Amino acid sequence: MSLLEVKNLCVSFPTEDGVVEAVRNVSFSVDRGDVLGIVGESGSGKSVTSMAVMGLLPRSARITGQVLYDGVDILKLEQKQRGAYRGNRMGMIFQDPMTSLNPVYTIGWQLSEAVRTHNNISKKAAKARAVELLALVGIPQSSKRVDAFPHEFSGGMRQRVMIAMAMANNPDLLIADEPTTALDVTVQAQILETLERIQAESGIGIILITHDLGVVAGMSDRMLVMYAGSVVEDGTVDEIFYEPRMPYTAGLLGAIPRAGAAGRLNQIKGTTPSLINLKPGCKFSGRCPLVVDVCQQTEPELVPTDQPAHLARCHRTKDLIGVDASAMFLQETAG
Amino acid sequence: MLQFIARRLLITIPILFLASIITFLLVAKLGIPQQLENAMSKPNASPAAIRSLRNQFELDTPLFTRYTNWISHFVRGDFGLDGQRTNVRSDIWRAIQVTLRLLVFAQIMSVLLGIAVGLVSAIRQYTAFDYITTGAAFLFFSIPTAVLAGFLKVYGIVEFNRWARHPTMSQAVLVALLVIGALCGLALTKNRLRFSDRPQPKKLLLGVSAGIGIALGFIIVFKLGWDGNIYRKRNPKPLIATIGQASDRPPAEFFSRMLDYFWHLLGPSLTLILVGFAGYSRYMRASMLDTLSSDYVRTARSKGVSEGKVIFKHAFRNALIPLTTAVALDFGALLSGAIITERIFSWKGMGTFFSEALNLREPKPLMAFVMITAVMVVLFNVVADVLYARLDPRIRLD
Amino acid sequence: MTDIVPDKESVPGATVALDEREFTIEARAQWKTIIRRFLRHRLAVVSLVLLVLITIWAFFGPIFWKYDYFSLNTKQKSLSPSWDHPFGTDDLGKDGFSRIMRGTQRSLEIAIIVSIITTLMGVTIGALAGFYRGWVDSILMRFTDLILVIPLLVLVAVLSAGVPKAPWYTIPVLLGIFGWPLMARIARGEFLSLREKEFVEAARALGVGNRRIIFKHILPNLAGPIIVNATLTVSGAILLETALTFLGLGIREPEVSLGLLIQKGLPAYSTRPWLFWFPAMAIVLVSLCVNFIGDGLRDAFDPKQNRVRA
Repeated sequence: MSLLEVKNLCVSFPTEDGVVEAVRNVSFSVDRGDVLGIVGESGSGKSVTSMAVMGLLPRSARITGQVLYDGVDILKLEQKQRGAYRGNRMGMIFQDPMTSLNPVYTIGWQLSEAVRTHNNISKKAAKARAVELLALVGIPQSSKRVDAFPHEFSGGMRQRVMIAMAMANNPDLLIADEPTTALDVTVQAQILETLERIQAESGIGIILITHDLGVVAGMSDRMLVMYAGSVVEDGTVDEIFYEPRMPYTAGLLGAIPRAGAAGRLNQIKGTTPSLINLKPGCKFSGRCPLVVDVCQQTEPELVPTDQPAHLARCHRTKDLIGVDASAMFLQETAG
Repeated sequence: MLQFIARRLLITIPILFLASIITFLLVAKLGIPQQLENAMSKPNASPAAIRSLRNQFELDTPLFTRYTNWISHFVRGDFGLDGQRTNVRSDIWRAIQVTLRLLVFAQIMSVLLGIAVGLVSAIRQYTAFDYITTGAAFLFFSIPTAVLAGFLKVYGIVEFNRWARHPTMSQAVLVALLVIGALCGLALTKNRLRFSDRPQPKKLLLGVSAGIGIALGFIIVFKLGWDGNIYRKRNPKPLIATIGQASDRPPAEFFSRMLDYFWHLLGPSLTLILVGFAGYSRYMRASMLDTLSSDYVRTARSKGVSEGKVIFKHAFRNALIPLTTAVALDFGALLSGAIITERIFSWKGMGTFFSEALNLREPKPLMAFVMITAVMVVLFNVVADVLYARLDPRIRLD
Repeated sequence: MTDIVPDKESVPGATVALDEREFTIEARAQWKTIIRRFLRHRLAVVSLVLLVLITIWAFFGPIFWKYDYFSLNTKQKSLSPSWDHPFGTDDLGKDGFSRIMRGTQRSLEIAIIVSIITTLMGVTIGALAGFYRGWVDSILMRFTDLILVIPLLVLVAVLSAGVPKAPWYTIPVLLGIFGWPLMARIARGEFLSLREKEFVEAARALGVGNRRIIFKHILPNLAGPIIVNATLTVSGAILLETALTFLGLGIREPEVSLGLLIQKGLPAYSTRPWLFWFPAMAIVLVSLCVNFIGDGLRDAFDPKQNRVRA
């Protein structure tokens, strides 16, 4: 049994313009020690998926499916029991460290709060734990910095504090939602290095959500590619990077600039479809260079490809075998 | 901090100085005081009397000298004498005390009410409570003070007093009141308060409100009788006063005097509270919605912190910062804030002081009024800045 | 260095035209979403329709109505509302209906004048302070502080008491001339932040002049706050006019405004309640409509509003 198993998760939001189907039928699992990468553009549903797992979606969200944590379906729990998981057995860090900490409380107060919410210990003990946590994420002079306010920290330091906060109660699962997107490149590397070290030391499972393929390549074992609210490709990082079986993934890979490569950068034309009143058929068909009639009529299933553990949602998977798929987008633009 | 306050106050001195010059000119431009005009229009006006009045108002001294005379006394705390040769300082001090009694009470009540209502309507956005309070806020925002005060006075208080003299209530009205009360209680308990998802408080609240409702019903029915008349003999004079800040001869005993003040306070303060509540509840609601959707509130939730703590320790604490600043600034404008209300309820406060001085075109009371309100505005501007820095660690004062 | 910066005159037509076209397409789309969002605020739309109807009634009603607002009629004193006089008559026999039409008309005119003057002065002063910063900013902001030190009602009351025979439009002009500081602060704040934005820097790098940056690049982005605040000024002005007139320092006979009708009607509440009720309802209706429209506009301009509804 996996640590976390998500089965057929669907999330939709009623809005004034209609129902937004943000996440459709997403399934995956994470074990202790795993790093699962979830990749997609903004609006692909990757953040909503992680928020659903954490239980942070607004009340208006309609959620169906199962989220099994150690075999318990946490979607079915009462709020109170649910709160015992959040911040305790799973922690989360967010994209923008500049706004993710409460500006009016000290770092120590906020770390202590995380500890004291789930443990009946004294304020003093919680403070000591806060200092320890700051040291764990590599903040120098932690016993002094613990009394500082968030605005006295740089962005990278604040993200470390966020990691410390998520790790406060030694969770088994850490969800990192675009942890490095808002940071400088050098700081990004430090944060990823911190995450890697913590993972190695504690053996937790990590869900790493990002749109940066480089980050996934460096850290993950398995990855999901999401598009318009559903998973379009699921496999190991090597499989997907070297042999993508879905044109969208191929397009994403083609859009990475490579050192030494001459010529134009490949790009995927068009924009992601609106998630309101979704049309039938493959959601990528409007932008796909390989589109055929069937793509616009029925949505393909997420099925195994030529490699059994490698799943893809594409009618034309077979046509991608042994082809330099990223070049297709180039031809398309040239033609 | 002290350095900051000192510097801020120093900057305002030239502004106050300029304001005093401009006001002095404007007041001089008003024309000759009413008193002098009355004296001159008398058919048998004696030139000596007119000359002495002209002297008293310094009408024959050049404007510049008049100003320097006035300001040199003013900065030493001597506000001069008005046309009746009474000391302006003691007059205005009396008016300030009266006005503060009204406005401090009204302001505190409207802030508390505004915070409570704004908080709940933000947490329960788009519920019936939110729509009703928003509607009420818009209504009170759109009513001129004169209309609201007039309405409360003549259709609220006068009618209530008339009823209280012979307090009867038809059975239909009684039953209707009880039904409305019960519905309100149910509406409050039926919708989840969203502070907590535990069912116990809900039941508790339901029980308590039902209990209160039943008790009230019994009291009304058995104490007043179906055509109850407990006030009929004991209360010959109106219960809630509509004129003045206190009875002509207020009772000497402390408790009765406070009660007397209270019955006089009710009308005008209700006016001010409704208007103030409208503004503060909208402000609080917007501020609270802002912080509720902030990233740090999401972080707090991700820590597993209970919803009540998320709302009060994280969202509410931050939402209070802009509100506190706004309230502090409003306190600065308090002394001049109730001119209309005071006039309608015939309070002898600052508003009446001002409008009488303006009608009589009395320069010294007018100058004293304008300068004191200006100083208050300036002081509370600094208070707002200091409070802001106190509440928000990101702000440094220097 | 100079030859790298493309001179506007040296590329006539081509790029400029492209530029303009893209700008207008985008602008049109933006206005479309704003209008769509406004239309979704049902209360605001109803208020807008109602306000338009009231305005038409107030301005064109008197042409068709059988009574005028100033004629005395000793035979018809203090009549309660009837089909002949829907809003009754006052103690001099003047027709209430025509007086409220006239009063609403004046009050609307006053509010519009205040709003226009406030907006023009506030935006100009705020824009200058926010764009040029430095000593311009310091002087203008000290000036703003100076005006804010004396409460607006007090200031205008003193000024108005000094000119007892002034025509009616003195009141709105005075209210406008001293009522701009809030608008100036809003405009200044927006200018301070917008002038640092990338698109302004880009325009500057292309050698666009200050005047063009202010009018073409920054001001259009301020449309939201300006329009919302100008709308709210309208209702504020109606209330201020009422307060001033109530103190006997605003509109005076023989002119008619809603404030004046309330001032006259309040003392007669027990004998002729219609003289209080109808102007009170008119003023609350107008100002409620304006406030709802302002709320609708704020929602329409505020992109945050596109949030999920429960």
